Amino acid sequence: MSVISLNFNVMKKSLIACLALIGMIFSSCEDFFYKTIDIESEDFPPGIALSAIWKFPTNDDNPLIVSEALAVLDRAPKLIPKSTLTIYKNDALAQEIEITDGLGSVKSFSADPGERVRITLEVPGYQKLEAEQTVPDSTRILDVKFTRDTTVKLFGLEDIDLFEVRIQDDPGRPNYYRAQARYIFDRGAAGLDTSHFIALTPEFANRENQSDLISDEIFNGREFVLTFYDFGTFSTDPKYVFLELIQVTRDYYLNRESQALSEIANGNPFAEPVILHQNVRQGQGIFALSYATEWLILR
Amino acid sequence: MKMSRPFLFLLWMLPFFALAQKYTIHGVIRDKASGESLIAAGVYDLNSLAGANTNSYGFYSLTLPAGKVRLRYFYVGYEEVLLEFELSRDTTLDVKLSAGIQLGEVEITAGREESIERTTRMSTVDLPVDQIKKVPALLGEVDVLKALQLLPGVSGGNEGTSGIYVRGGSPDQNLILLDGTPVYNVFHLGGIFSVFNADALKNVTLTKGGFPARFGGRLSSVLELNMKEGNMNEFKGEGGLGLISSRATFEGPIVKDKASFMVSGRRTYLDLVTAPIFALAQSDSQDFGLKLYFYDLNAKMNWIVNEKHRLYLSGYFGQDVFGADFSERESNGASSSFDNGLNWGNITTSFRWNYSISPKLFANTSIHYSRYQFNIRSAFEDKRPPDRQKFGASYFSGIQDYSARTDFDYSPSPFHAIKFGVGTTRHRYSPGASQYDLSFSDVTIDTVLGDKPIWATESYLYFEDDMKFGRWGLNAGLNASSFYVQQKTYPSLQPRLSARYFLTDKTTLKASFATMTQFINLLSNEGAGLPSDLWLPSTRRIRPQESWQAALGAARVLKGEYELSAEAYYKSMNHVISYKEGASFLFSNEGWEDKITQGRGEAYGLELFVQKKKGKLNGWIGYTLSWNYRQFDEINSGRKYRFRYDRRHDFEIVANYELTKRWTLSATWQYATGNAITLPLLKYQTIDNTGWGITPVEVTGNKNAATMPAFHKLDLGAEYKMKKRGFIQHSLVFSVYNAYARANPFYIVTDQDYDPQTGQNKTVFKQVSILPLIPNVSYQFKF
Repeated sequence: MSVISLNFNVMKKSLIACLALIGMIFSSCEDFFYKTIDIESEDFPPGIALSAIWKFPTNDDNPLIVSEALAVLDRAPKLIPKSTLTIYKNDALAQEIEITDGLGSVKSFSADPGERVRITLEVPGYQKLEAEQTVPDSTRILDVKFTRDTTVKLFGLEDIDLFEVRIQDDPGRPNYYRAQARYIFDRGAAGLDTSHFIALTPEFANRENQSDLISDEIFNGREFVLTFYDFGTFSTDPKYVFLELIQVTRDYYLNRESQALSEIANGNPFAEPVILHQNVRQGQGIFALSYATEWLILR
Repeated sequence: MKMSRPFLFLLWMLPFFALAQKYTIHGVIRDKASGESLIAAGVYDLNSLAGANTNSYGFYSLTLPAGKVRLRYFYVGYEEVLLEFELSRDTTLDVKLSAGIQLGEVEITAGREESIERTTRMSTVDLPVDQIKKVPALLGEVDVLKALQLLPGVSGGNEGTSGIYVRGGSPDQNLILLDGTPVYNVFHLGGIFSVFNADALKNVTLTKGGFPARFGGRLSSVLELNMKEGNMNEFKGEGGLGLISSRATFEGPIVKDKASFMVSGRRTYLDLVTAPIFALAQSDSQDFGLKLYFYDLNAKMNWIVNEKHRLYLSGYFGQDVFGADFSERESNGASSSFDNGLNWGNITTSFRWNYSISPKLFANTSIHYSRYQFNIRSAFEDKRPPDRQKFGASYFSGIQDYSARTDFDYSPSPFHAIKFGVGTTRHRYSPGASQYDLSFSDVTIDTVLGDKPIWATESYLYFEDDMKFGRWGLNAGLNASSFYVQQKTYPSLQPRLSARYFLTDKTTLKASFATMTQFINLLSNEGAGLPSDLWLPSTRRIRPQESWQAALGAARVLKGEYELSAEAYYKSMNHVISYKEGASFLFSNEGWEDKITQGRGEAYGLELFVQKKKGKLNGWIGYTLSWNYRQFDEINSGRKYRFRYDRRHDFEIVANYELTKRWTLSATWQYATGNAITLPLLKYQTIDNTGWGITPVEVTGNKNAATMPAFHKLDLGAEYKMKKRGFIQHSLVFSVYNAYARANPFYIVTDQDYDPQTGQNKTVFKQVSILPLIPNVSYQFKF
């Protein structure tokens, strides 16, 4: 037997044995690849979380949620059955509300730009939670312009509706906005249809899934134009454009953005972990305010 | 004839003038069998006790007083050569050393080995390629970078990956030079293997601190890899067949003793193995294919023009290809197809010219080109005559370097080894762009979103002097560099100092201080060496990274065989970069500068190292105790946090043992504290994005406040050399990776497990591990 064939036979047998062994190992080791472990992490005693994100002025109630805050390995957190919310405006008592089953809504409370709103939450057996915000200013809209453009090739498609809003940003401090626009269709007997949102063009969006949250980093203190677009093919043309420009607090912006980012990162071991922004003292959660400026434009 | 007294006096003084005269011996030290130049080989005069070492091209220069000299030439693992002669003029002396055990007819004199305790350099490890090849390897693939992970002060990234984190630095802070050319992405298969084929390499040197002035551009380490030049005397080859790849290296003379070549290649073949299986599954109407391979090709030529001039041309070409395509045809002429894939790879080329200008002055001039590119693509086409729809999206990024440099070695005396030089690099960065190609009916869209290429110029000059006087050795130098980008210039002056003092004949104290500046950044998810890594320049907004590092240590040689060293270091880094929380890189229209933030880093620790390079039993033991932190204003609410690879304890044993002439055994055992990770801390119910619904949310704890379970494993290897028949030496290499099947954590996630006691799901931490016990056998040949 030649040297080459002898070596090949030895090699072949060794390879077959190895492959068989690898196959056996991989098929019998489910617990190896994915298993439950104990791992030392930071301690967290049970607490309370308050979530209240409010808009002024509004015809609707402003909601809030009161929940247990538990360690991540603990059971699923429940809503708190009984708690008391106290609202102060400019340090004067404005309202006191009993909240049941963790879900509450604040009715008939309004605040104007510049006013300070402080809330406290009392839950039996826990420290009193506190948070405060200052109502942001209204947004100074200088001009709006609607064009039905048959020449602009956005993504190569014709007949673009462009809706431009020129705003004046306050130079004194960082400002944050939410911008939403909708078509309003007159459906005759069926009434008005306000369900069709039109989108901001991508260069204004800060994060992919929070496309209506804007920071003034790139236009601080200056006039700036926000542009909405729509491909605009309807059986009946919309009658109005409803524009809502909401100026939000920094806490509002950071909380919404960090929550959206953490949803993207969730389950991805290679993503940068995101720390959820919170501002409630002696507890968890967010208290954030916004102030809306609305325009109704005839299209 | 009566002579004048002045004339007699001069005649009497003449011998003294002759004695005071000095002459320079210079040449190249080479391997006798292959003709390869030997780097850092030593030459030592036993009379005057003066000595020198060869540079990267095997060149040495030693100036001695005229008279009788006894020169000892030596190199680890080679027979020493002793030459005695009368030095009366500048002399060119090329010496060839034979590898292997010492022969009786060569007079061997005891003397000080040129080893760790003699050099002023500290924080430097020379790893013999032969030792690297013996380290048991995953699936039999010898990996240079994985061997480096076994050194103190060097951490690997996630398990199984080849990233190196040196003294608390990140992977972009390592300058990796292949024949002097930077290599940017050094990973195959997502980081499982490195791009360096050990068969093509001659030497590997890692510098972790005390950087000489000739190095610049990175904060944490310099990894020099030199390719073999090619056997000048005879045609040689070696190679192997493994479970996932095969390799072959051939070298030989083009003109004997004048010119040689070396070619080395490696390729995986999972796609070739699976091709017949896919072919069976295909039908007349359906085709599908899989592309899954990587390859490396190293090539080098060198030509000794004459005793003064030598030319080198070398190149590396490597690529990873992943892809799958599927197509379907219908009887009515309609068809559809998908084609998805990603590929990335490097090309490096260098041309070098050595010129021995004079016995004391050596110059190397080189030009380099380096390119790294990464591409993801996805395409779909649907034909239903007369309609045709097509959609394609691709993402690409990369970097290209065009550089030139000249380096001089000047040895005016045995007490000074001066190096100086100048260089410049033109960088072209492609930070990442997405291209969309859509066509249907009469509509065609072709658009590119993302960042435009950025050009930058990096230039430098340096000067260093390695001085020896008595018990002291001192290396002092200055590196002056600048970076021009977007009409902004970043200048940098970087002083370097390292010192050595002989406490005793065999024990030295060492200290070093070095400042470094880095104008290039690597953005990567802090995981494996995924091809998603982006190389980006400093810009008007992103400042260069800076560091200073101080180290104090001691080195000793025991019994002429064991090199011991202990070093403590402190490193401070500024303007290091990180992704902002939640940032993503892919298919995003956000500029990259908006995704990152800059901050500070701090690392300090103690390294202990014992190395034995020769003998039947050889290897090393290393231990590192270290701390490693980062601080960014926009991360972790501005609080300082542990760096991901802050592993408090790191311990390695590497051992190779030549059991018999046929059997060689090897083993490595590693232990490291687990990586720092960020875990969710608490959970509650909150308002969702609509503002009206309820959604659960998890809140993470402080960044990297938790620690993964410890990492440890044992790898075993054995090589069996078969009886040599004919001119080919055959051998089988057996290895077991993770011999006791330790489930080392790759990452941690939260998941839900059913709790039978409560009848409900509960949240638990789950560990994902990827590499169990993996045996391997491969065949190797050599001639």
